[in-house]
Amino acid sequence: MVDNIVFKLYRSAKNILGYQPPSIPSPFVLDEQRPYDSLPRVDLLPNNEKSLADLAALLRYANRLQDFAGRMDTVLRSNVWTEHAKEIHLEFAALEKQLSELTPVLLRYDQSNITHNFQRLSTSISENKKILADIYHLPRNTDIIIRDFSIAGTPRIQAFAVFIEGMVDNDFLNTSMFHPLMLFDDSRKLYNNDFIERIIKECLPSTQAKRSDSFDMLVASVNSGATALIFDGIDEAIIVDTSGWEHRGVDRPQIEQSVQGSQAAFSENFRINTGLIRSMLRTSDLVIETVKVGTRSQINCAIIYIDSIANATLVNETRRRIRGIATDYLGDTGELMQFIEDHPSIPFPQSLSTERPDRVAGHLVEGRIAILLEGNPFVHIVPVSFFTFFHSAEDFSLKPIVVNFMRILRLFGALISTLLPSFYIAISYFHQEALPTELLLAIAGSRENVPFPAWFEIFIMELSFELIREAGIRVPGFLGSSVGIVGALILGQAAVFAHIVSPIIVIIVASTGLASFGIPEYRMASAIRIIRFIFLILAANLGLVGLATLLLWIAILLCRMKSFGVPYMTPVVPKTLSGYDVVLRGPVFQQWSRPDALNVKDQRRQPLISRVWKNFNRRND
Amino acid sequence: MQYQTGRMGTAEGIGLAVIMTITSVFSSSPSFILEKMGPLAWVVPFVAGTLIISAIFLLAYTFNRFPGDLVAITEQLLGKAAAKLICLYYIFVFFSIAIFLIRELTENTLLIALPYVDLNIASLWYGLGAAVIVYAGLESIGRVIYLALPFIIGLILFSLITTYPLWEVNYLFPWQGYGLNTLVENSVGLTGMQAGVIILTIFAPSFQTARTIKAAAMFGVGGVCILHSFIFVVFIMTFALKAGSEKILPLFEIARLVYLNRYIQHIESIFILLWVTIGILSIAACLFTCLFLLSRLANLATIRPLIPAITFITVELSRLPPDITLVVKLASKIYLSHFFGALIFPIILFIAAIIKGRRKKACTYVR
Repeated sequence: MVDNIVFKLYRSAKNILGYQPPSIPSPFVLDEQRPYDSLPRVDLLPNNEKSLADLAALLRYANRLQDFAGRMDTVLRSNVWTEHAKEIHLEFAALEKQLSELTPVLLRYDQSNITHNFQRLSTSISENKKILADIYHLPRNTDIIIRDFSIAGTPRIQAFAVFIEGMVDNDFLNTSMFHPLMLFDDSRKLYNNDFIERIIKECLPSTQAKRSDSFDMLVASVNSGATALIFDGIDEAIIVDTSGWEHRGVDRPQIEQSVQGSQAAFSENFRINTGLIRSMLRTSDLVIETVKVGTRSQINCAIIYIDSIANATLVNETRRRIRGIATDYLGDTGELMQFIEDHPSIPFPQSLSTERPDRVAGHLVEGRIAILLEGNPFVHIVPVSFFTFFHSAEDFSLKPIVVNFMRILRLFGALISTLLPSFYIAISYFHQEALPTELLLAIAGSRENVPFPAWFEIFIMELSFELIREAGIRVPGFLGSSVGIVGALILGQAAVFAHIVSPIIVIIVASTGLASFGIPEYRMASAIRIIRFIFLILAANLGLVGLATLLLWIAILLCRMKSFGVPYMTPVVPKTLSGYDVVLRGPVFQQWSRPDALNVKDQRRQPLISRVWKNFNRRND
Repeated sequence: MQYQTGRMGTAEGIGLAVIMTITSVFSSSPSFILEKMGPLAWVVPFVAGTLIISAIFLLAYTFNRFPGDLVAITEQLLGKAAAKLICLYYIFVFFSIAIFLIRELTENTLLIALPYVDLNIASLWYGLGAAVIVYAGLESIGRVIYLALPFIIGLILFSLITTYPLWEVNYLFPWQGYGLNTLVENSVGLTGMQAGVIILTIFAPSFQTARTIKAAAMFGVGGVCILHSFIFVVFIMTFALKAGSEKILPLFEIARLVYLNRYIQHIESIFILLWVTIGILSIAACLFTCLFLLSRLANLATIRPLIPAITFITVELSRLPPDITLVVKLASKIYLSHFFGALIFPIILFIAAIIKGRRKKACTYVR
């Protein structure tokens, strides 16, 4: 049948009358019920009783072993041991049997020890490797390197080195560790005497090398940039200081400069960047997962979080979104974020872009996730709230009263930047009665010789300002700042003299521009600049009514937005516990909890009394 | 924490309760109440507020025993026909509130903000403003109100308190007004002006628990009642009874009298921001409720395609009365009829719930 206009109309009418909403997958919302809360509660009492019984059995065995050793000592010293040989043999067999019976208990005890950090090293190299893989969340953590090798000697000894890429000096590692261990004299008999001591003294030309038999010391050292050497058959490790991550040599922050705090910034090198984060957060819980993005040019993208804090659902969702990108090439983190954020068409940023490792560390500790793309010096942090964009890098370095003043100033700046020109237009066009007579006369006097309407004056001045700003960025080197000064001073002055604009307009536009520079996040400032023009159009046509309507629409938009499933305006609406760091910030020792909206695994950041020293009297000696 | 879709918390509830009750503060109803009640007008908000909060509490009791929203509960307690009737009645309630709000807002705009703008453009603008918000949903409306609440209350209190040089306490006398009988009769009738608070029970399954609804009603309506009462006190003390009952926009007149110094005076322009915001949000909440009830009545899958059509009809209907005087008269009569929705229906449902009393999972949405 021919598909003519009648059928098309019929189908359209049918669609309209029988409208069914398209089936789209429901958007991701971070579950407000903590999955960790709903885990079945472990009935502690029976388990405790069982554990006590197990431990009592182990203790009995230990006591028996001690008694046996004591008796053996006495018998061997008495020179009549042949008389007791059978008895000793039977006792020894009984002990072995008891040990075999207790082996499952011992294994269970070892496995129940969740934090391997307090465990001692095993003589089994594979067991040690497994424990380290658990501690460092391998293979998810991609910058933790476990390097297998064998040491030259007779016999060749299997060993592995563990270190964090980006935190060690690779040259030093190769020349002063692997080279002497792998390539030197093959005839050495290494298992003689104290093996660890011999390796330290004879094979490792390093300034600092020490031995360790526990994982806690080993992990702490590796987290600080050391390399741990673990050998087959030896329950001790050698820790060699190989730290060599990039510090101040990297660069100073170009966009997020601060007076206080760290002065290091990320660079284009992927591993240096991960190393910088590792150097700030020295914990084995820090996970740096790497995902390849791009189909033609595959680039590493790191998803960074603290495993014991970050919400697992959020981590999974972030990973799912990044893995779900199908594009040829991604060259920038901002580009990547547009692929994965909840509302890519809305100008307000939904992730915090930062070039400072200290800022990333601060947010990771709060339970957020950092996204780092290879070849890009900006790390994006998700999820964020609207208020995060008005916090600066040094907020926690200064006293609360100073910071709070700054924060209020920034928010006030944002308000001025958004509303001042449109407010001026609305008042001067429709509500002159709001101005005192003297001010009204002054404004009227300054506009006397200007042939254009006020909205046009503001419009051309705002456009000129944007042009100057854009030119200042694009023109290279010192010329950039010169363009800004020339543009702002000479152009503004000339425009006033030529009666193209009135002086009050120059003041308004300059104040607006200055206020917009006070907003710490560039993308937020850009969004506000764009919105300012819409405000201007509505204020010129509908005065304060238009202004109020647009404000309302923007408020609705902000309240509806989500950043990776977390409401954008949280913790204000919806109301959640915030940890006293939203618009205003409390003292650092009162930042007890992490933001509730992130539903982290561990809500408590520090105990209620974090200044423990206050509870103790000073000694009078 | 309370942000999952379909799980509005106390904050959003308070926002909705406030927006459905505070709008009358900006209209000419305070003058109308003042004329009827005399110096005792400041007690009216307390009486009306207590009644409406009681109605919500009665419904919350019902929600604790029967699952679903207002329509679903009516269906279980009184049958399908009654549920359809209730649905139609509340569509009328919210539709009429939206119509009168658009007209009053438009007239106010022409009177004090944009005298040269065409009536059609102004009313269409408010319709558009509300329609865009309806798309965002009720949760966003509740959140925005909660976000704006400190500024709204702060600005109203600022303008009220800064008129203190003009206050004359003697105007509050005789304190008995026109007598207790008049007060009770009129207050009960005026409860209809706050019928919009029933929105909390219409969207009951969207709230976390019945307790959330009760808390929202208590704090939202209670707070607005105190504010409303304070406005009456200041209004009477500033203008006296006779002059006060002649003012078309009392709060606007109060803002006009503010004079702190030569730079902080005549703040009525800034006040425009306030009433435009509240007005549009209130219209949007009413339209959303209308659309929701329509979709329940006709078993529609979604409300979105209806938004432009219903908004346009509302705007067109708001333009039917030839002048504002007729609008005010009509509004006062129709608001009185809302009394049934505000008090009578909740009581009927409560009695039916007691008779059929059984306990099920509270506030569970069933269709």
